[in-house]
Amino acid sequence: MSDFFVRVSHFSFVQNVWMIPCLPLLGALIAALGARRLRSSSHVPVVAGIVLAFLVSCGALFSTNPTEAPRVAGWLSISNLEVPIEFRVDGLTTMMLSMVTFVSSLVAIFAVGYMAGDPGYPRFFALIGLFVFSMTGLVLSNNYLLTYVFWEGVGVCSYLLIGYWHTRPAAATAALKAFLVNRIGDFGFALAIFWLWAVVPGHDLSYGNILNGSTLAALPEAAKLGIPLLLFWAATAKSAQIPLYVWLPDAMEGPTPVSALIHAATMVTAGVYLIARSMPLIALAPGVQVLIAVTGCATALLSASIALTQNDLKRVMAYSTVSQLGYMFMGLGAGVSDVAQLAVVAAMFHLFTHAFFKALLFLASGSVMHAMGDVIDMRRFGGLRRRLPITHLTFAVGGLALAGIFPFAGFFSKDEILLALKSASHSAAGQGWGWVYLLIYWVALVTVLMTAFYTARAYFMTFWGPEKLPSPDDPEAPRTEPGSGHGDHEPHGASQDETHGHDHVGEESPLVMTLPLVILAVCALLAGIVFGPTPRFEVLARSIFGLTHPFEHHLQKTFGWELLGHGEHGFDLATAGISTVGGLLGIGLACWFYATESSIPGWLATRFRSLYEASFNKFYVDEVYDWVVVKATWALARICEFLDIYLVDQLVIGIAKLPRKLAKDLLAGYQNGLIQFYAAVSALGVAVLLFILLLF
Amino acid sequence: MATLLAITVLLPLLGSLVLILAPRLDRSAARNIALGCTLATMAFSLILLASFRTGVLTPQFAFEPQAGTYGLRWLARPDIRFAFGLDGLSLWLFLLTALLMITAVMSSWEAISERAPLYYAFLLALETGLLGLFASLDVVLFYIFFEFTLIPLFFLIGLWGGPERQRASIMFFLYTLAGSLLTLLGVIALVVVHYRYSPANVLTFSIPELTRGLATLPWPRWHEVGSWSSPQVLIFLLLLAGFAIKVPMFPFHTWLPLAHVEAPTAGSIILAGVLLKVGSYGLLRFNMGMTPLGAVSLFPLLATLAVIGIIYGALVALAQTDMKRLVAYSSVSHMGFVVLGMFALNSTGLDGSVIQMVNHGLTTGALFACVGVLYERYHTREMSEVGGIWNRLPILAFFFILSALGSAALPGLNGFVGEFPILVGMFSESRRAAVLGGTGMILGACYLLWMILKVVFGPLREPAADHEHAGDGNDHAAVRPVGWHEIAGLAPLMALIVLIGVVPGPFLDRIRPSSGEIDKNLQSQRGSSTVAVATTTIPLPNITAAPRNALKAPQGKRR
Repeated sequence: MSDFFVRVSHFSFVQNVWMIPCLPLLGALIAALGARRLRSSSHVPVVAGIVLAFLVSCGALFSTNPTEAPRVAGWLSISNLEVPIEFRVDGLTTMMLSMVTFVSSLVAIFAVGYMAGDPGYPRFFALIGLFVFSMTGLVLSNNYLLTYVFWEGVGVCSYLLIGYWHTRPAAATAALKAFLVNRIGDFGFALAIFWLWAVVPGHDLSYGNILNGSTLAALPEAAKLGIPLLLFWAATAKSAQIPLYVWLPDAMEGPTPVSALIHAATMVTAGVYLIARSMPLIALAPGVQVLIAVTGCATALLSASIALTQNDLKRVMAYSTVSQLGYMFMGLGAGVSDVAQLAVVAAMFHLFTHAFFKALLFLASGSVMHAMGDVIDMRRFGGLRRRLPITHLTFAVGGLALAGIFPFAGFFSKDEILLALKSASHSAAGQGWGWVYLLIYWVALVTVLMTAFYTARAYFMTFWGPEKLPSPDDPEAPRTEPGSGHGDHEPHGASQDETHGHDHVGEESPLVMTLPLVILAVCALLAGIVFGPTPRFEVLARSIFGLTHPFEHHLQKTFGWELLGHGEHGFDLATAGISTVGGLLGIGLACWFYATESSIPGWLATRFRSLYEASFNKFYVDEVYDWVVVKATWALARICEFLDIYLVDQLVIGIAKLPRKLAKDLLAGYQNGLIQFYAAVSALGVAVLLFILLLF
Repeated sequence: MATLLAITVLLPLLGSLVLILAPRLDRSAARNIALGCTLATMAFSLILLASFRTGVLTPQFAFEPQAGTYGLRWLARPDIRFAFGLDGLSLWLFLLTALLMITAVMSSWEAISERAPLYYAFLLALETGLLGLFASLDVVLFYIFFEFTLIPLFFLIGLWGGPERQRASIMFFLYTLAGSLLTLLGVIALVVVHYRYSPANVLTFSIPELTRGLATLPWPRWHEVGSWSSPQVLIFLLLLAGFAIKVPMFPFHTWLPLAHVEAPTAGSIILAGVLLKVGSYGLLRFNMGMTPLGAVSLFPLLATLAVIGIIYGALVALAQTDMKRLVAYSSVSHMGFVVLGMFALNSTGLDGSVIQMVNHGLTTGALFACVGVLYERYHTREMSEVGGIWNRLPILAFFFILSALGSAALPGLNGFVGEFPILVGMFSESRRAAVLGGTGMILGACYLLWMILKVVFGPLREPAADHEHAGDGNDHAAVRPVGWHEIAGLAPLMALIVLIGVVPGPFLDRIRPSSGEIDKNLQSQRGSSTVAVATTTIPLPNITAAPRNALKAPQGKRR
């Protein structure tokens, strides 16, 4: 036994970090290959793999070493393009790893209950395992190209999981949309890599080679602007920012655990991670940083205003995710000159806390959906707080965290971002960008109010008011349930909506689902105050936990971040005060409007009809894209096809017909069948040949 | 080993003769013979692969009979030789041919019932043609095989094809023949120039010797920068004519969709999987290998055509409703990547291009095989008529999605290992071409996943039951599940799609020395072509003035 502990204590987590992606992959393979035999216990290998990966991640968390990048294996080795599998175990990576594996474990456990009885059960868990493999690989890799590989890997897992209920046309279309929009972003990433390859010494795409002072200083001017811009382009697709955010709300067609894990807590933060990882590079282009902040701000505002009027609980959460990601980008964009590190840490801290409370909110929504027989339209149920007590309480905790109310996690992280924006407005004043950051700061504060409002609206509509369960006679009920598969020959199609059986409608979910909710709720409550980088509550935190802003200290052990300006911790009671007041105001309004039957929302909707409709119809962005991008591409495709048939092909046929025409009109006459004529021509030919031979 | 290579090449031809000559073979006997033959060929090829030494530049297993050996005196003339060998460029294409032939036989298993012995005989003859082509070390031998492949494919399309099979087969035949005659001229020109201007006046038809010898000639002095009538540019264009049609490069691609739609499934698999590679292999071996100066001079034109091919092919593919036409146009787009990689004019692009040939063969072969499986069951290839087959044919759905993702260059699958280096290489040569070509990655995902959406996802849609084929008339319970032979044909392709993506090392290592040689040649010509600007006074060689016996020899060997 003691021998075992010696071995464990000598276990080098940095050297064995490859286990983190590989364990879930192994689980996924077992689940996939043993699907026939395992059936309803397919989750066992995957959940085990992810939990073990989480344990290794925790170990790695305490042996972080930013300078070392252990090489695991070779991968792509083509002339001048050498991409080994190298993992870098620094502060940023280990933080992401622990978060990803922790949330994944809980979501996978939740899914055991949620997905029970689904015909695709093994496939679901195999894909979840594959996703965790890709996501952990993404944050571990020490090379832009390897990051790109996993970047697309998480994309394809997302594609297959959004389209998990493959017989539903809406799910299939949403999956395609997600993949294609992400492909547009990936293209930007690919271009960034091409460019980097062309300009960095030794064509070496590893972070160690690129994110160091001498390489960065030697970059050509165009690359200093272009590469950050392209990386940000990549990030807008994966992290759902304007203009490429449109896929995320549709992605809610996937099973709810997928929405919680991939489309809220982990994958969508990959773009934020990429920008944070490349921060020394991004910081070379202050203009791009302003663009990042402005985009984040516009996205946060736009999606928050859409979330105000949506009736689909999951869609509200989806737009909220887009909005919160916008906050993270605001933080990243605020990382100018001397406050760079402060701002990036703030963004990553928000990413960290958001993962907990947003996963919690999604899982709680899933729990509601589970209890309501897969109905998610908030108009069709209400007053569920007695029926679903645990779901209700945990949802409330998540909602308060999202709304940014002290002492919940969201309060700390959101405040950090606001503070960073304010500092940036001072720091960037020299470059003339100060007013932009100040404007963003105020818009962000307004968005806080909207966030609190839509969160509370969802909460009150779902859990308060008179108790109401969905019935098929609801005016909002769709004519036919999506995917119920009327008239097709599918063996299980009709049972899909019944998989979460209508037999337990209105009952609280089983323990396997509520336990992850409770754990996440605890995290959403404490993550901010325990890990918070805020010096404001330093005394409090130290006296209770013996720690002071460990999050920031940990992240400082990130490779290349020593190049960033450190920045001084500020303390701004005004910001904290205004955002808290805003949050409370939002909650109060929502309580007034929705906690009891009230005519105010209806009155507002008619009074500001055009605004309401614009928000309700998502500002018609999908329609505009449909016309400008999709229809245009189709038209172009049709034109090309037309050209192919009537121009290129006809041209070829025309040329092919030429000899025949030539032969008929010109040469056919010589084939007259007269021996004398042939003999004469032959003689003539011989004469000509002789003549030529004599001449040369 | 050298003999084994020759045996491997000729074994399918032997099988083909058996099938033709043996009296009264029934369908199952014929297909068993064909399967046995392709499996044996594959086994021999694997032995060759196992003994292939990495890092060696010269062709391995060189089968070069000297005068008198095997009693084949005519074969052993000093100039034209029956010489085989494999190097890094041909090795994987050789194996790809052997592998896809198995898939082709498997996909014909149930589909072909009329005149089966003859069908399999043509298929096997085609295999010998293709294996011989990739293994030839002699330009005349190469050309003979190059033309020979047309014959069996012409009959395969013309006799077992769809309703418009005759038009398709004639168009295919004439179109590719027209181009390859010009290529013949180019090949002769190379031999003659080498004979006339090499220091020792050697008459050789050996590919390695020609490649080496031609590189030592003072081409740059004969070269006029920017001129289309410089000798190497002219020869380059002649060679290009045949290969560009085979690849096919835009705008010479119109024979392809028609041939594909009309061809039987096996024909499509071989046509897209291997026959198109004949064009790109020729480009690599002759155009890049022997006329690098022409490649350097014409690279803007060819890179442009390649980029147009990528985008245009993808857009036309997007407009298709017939699955086979869609995959056919996707070939135009993906082969555009192969050409683009070559004309990146650097080793990264070249390596990518070589591996991309194999990748395209695997994914497109697999996609055609998948479409074939569907066609056999529903007798339609219209995406509007068949859909949501996931629950009906789950294994096929898996194969379909995997090959589409591989074709869309998803990292971790094979397409990425080719396309990404191609674009990386191109970016350092021409940013515009790389950016425009890169949009092919987006469009590629569009049409492939659109097809997947229509065919695999969604509620089940099946055409009204076909009374002739379905057992009980009105229900599709009669739809046959995916059979063992279909799985056996597709599973190796799937394994390789994943394997090349995950462990590309062993595949790339064996390519490296040979592609490196071409790259070295290119770079040296490139360096000297810029120097040559000042020295244009030196007279250009007059190709027509070459000695007569040099011209006679290759013509004498033409069939």
